[in-house]
Amino acid sequence: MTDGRRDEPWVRQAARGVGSVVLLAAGVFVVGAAIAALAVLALG
Amino acid sequence: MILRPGADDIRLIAFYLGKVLLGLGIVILLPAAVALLAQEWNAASAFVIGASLCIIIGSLSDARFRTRRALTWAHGMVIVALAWLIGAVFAAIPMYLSGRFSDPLAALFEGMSGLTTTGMSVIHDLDHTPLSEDLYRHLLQFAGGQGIVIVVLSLFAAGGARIATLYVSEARDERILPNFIRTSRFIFMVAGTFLVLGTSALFVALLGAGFAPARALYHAINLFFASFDTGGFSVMQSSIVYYHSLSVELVVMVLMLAGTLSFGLHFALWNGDPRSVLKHLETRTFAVTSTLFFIAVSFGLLRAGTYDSTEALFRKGFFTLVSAVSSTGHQVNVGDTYLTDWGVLAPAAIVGAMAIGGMASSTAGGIKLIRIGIAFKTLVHDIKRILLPESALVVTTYHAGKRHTLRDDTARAATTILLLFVVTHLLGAIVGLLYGQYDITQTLFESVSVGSNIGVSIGVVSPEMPRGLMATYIVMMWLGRLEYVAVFALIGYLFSLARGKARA
Repeated sequence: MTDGRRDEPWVRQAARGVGSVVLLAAGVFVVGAAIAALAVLALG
Repeated sequence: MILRPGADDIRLIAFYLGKVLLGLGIVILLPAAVALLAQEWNAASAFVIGASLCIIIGSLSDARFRTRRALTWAHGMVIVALAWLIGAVFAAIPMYLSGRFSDPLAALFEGMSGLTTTGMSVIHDLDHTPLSEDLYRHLLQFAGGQGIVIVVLSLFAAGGARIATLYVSEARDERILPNFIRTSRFIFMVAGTFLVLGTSALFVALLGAGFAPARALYHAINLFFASFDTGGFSVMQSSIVYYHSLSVELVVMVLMLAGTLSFGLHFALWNGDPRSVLKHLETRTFAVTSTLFFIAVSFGLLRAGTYDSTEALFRKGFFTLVSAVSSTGHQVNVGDTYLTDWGVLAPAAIVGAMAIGGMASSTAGGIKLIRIGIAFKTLVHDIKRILLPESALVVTTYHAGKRHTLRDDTARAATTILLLFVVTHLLGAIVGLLYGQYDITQTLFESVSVGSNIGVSIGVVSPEMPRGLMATYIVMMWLGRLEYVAVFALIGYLFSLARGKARA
């Protein structure tokens, strides 16, 4: 369906896609929390 | 010499607008069914009338103006511009009939806010809105977020190159799959997958927050539509504050970030190509701008003494930044707080984040990260040309799906739209000042939020707001969603109708 990997079940592609988004979001949260923590240390 | 559009052109436009109305009518049928099941008779009658009008007029238009003529770019632009405007008008009909809006203009504001995924609301007594009306408002965001033209055309269209003009006219220029219909269907597959998983995650989070199962499901469904489609409508007046739940806030942030990711990047992730995401100009622009904005937000909040812990900075400051960047508009503060408690630097950083917005070809609004990235690359390119010997050949490239060479027309297009957004934000702020009851902080904040289809409100937008300002914001939401080009094409088309030379 997604054409990139025709022989792969779409459920696996979907799981990979959603999982990657969640991982990306987690990375964004870690950076955000780190900035917040550093800001509190520096100015709190 | 401008040629006047002929009867065939008008017929073609009316034919496609009829299809859009048919699609909207079908969308309205779902909350109508829910209203009947929930015995919300007032809402049910409003939805049945609204859906009937859309379906009858759409069907008549489809039958009367049926044509096989090919679309040109001009037709595509005009159809998309009118589809969003007419869509908002017809979407407002059941809202006004429900009796929850002061006047037709307020209902039109809500309809446009829903379809453009802005998320500002002027509804009376939101906390006691019937279940079906809540669902309807959130469904409009789903339809608008996916692109109402795309919703209809992937269902009704025969396919082919004609659809390309409408796809691009709706401010999407990323062809993910060779065929635009298949691209549209991939977009729906991503949305459908996140619908199931996102709603489930929210349901679990809400159960954990103490909600009863039925209520948790109701809130989860509506929260999903508002978050993934970066719309920002909420079931309760207090938005996300209502839930008092870190797990709900985290799931909502994941969905907002998923919504702000372009569908091209979703495609890359589905196909196991994460490097493409990391190399993409928009990802890098997002990383740099968001980091800088959050540093400013954190600094500003700590200096103003608003919050003093990492958790508070993260749950309030970081959440608001993600809501602004993704152009969702969910709030973890009451609107006044930005004015009274946040100082000056933190709200200013939020305004900057709102102005830039999310990625192109996503559900997000704003100037778009790609344009900011291209503008920055253009600046660096021009500086290199000045500093290097005149005989040197300066070539600048950027990665957006594949490697592109930065060309003058690309740079010009990006900076023109950027300038249009900035001018519109400023004009909107000035119109707000004319009423004499708001200061520049309020009007600029609200104008940027409306014009970039964000929805974070500082309190200017309300059911009692001045009607002239409300009308201004309706136009700004329309312009922002279509990124100006389609609307200007419509104006040009109308001008050519009036002043153009008749075809031989």
